[in-house]
Amino acid sequence: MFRVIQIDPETLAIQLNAGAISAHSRGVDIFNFVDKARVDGILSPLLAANSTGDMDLLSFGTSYLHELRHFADLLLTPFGFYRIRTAFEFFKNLPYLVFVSDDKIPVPLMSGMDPITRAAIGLGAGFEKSVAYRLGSTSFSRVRVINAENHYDPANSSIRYGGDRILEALAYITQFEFLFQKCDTPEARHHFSSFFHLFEGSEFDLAYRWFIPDCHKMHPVKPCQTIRS
Amino acid sequence: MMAILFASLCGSIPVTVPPSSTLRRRQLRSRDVGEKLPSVRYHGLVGHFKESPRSSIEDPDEAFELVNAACQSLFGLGIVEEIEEDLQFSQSFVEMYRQVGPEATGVAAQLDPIPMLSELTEYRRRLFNTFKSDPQLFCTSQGFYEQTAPNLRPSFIYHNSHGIHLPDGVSYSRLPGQLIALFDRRLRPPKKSLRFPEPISVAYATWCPLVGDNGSRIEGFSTVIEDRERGIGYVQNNQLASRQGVYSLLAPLFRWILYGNKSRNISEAENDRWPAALGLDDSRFVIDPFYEEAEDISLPDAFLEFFGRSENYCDVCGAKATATNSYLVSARTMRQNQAVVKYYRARGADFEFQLLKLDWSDWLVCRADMERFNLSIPRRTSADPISR
Repeated sequence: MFRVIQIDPETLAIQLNAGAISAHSRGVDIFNFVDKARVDGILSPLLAANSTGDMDLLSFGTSYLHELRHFADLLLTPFGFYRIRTAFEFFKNLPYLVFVSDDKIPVPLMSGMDPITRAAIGLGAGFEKSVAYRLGSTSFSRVRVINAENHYDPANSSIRYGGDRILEALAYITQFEFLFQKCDTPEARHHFSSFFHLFEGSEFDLAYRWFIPDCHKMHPVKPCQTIRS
Repeated sequence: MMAILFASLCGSIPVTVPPSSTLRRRQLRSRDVGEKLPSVRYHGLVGHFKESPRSSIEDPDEAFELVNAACQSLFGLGIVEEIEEDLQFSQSFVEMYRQVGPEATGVAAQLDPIPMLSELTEYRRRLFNTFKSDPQLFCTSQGFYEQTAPNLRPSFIYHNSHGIHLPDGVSYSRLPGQLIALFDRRLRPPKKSLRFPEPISVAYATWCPLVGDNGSRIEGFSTVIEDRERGIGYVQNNQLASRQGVYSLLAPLFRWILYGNKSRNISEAENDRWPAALGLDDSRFVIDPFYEEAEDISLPDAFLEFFGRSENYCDVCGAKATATNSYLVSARTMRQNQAVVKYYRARGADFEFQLLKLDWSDWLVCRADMERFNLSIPRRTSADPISR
């Protein structure tokens, strides 16, 4: 999966695909955009890109805005911070697991939790007394919540709109409404056509704006302004 | 809708197993706040408003108050109270771990994530105070992009999967502060190599710390000690060393130990050779074969769209590659394919070293080469129209 910019939900660092950006004809401008956004904040370089109709920078800049929305939601909301807390609990214990104990470490740790898989990959019965097992048990009680939240059941195509999808929806709305409210030009509509297209259940729709049918049901008289194409 | 989505993320999640430390088990207040998971809250709130549909609300303050009142009625706590409770819990969580041992210094500070967590918790408290004073700064897009987002300063990690040869350095950023190598490897070229006569140090990811980013007020972090023998550098500042350790070691190792090679990140190099990078015996890590390989093949649309091109060149044969006749294949997917390995071995030691060891960037592969290497070809559906 090709990505140019992406937040790491466990550390809140923004990861940039610097190799791809370097190979882009506007690579230097994109790196300069990042610098400006870090010094002045995201709004001023975004508005500058918009005022010159620079679709390359607008595209990168609104993706950056999308990730900043994730940054804020992950940090502020209890669900977001639950993910961070879960990871840091593991980080704190990791040095003991790796450097202090001599235990065998199954990769992934989950494979050591199940007795059958454990036997299949050659871990002995004594594994249940290990640091790795204790750490695995705690971690999986935490991670299970996140995984169950985002469970997709292909048997009946049911999607539970869990935490991760809600995070995506909030970031999508922020990105889209910036485009709609500040950059609504024919060129922007063409360049960001997935954002301005009517909802039709595409992969993009289900990933980012799955909430639109619910929006119609809550406001049947006057549809949400944000979904007008 | 934005207030509903935001409120859905605001339920404090129950802790069913008390947090544990391998040093000693500690008591922390265990909470059972019932079903407050995002999905439950979302469906509860949407169901509540579907019961009495109304035209969309223009006033964001009114919308927030309606959602907040619904939260109080459905879940027992308003949005502010819910975050406040979670903040208190997080604070006691940090305090508990802070008591586990003295603050580490030097290299050991890289293995202590608590200074970074403490920093994030403090930053969170500041964001919460902003939210409490005006929820619209988070619950309307305009409030967010005009007032909240411009004040956010996350850390940046620059990934260059091709590998940057040290010590030439990189210049991704012109800001003061320093690019510090996070994932670096010392690679040993083949003996017969013509292009790489000596072992080379390669950086796959760097991090540029700035004074004040993430809300810290730390000054004077300019002293960076590069410890190439260990393969990592560290910062002579415990707070920044904590961050560097989390970014370069603890977080990637967490992903690898929890998900094996199926964990997907912007750079695959970080998963490679962990035991060797840590100076540990390979045999301590028992890898479940099911998680050793990771097939990651996708349509090339996002790649071509980013570069603004309708066609490029196949990384294997150089033929023209378009959205309809090529695919994007991850470096690990290529390396785990025996036909690919055989093909590059036959072309010479330098090809094999360059393309199957040094360079971890994605491959653009034409259909003919996908078939030649028996790589599975993803199907384009009506939901994936060809790129604009």
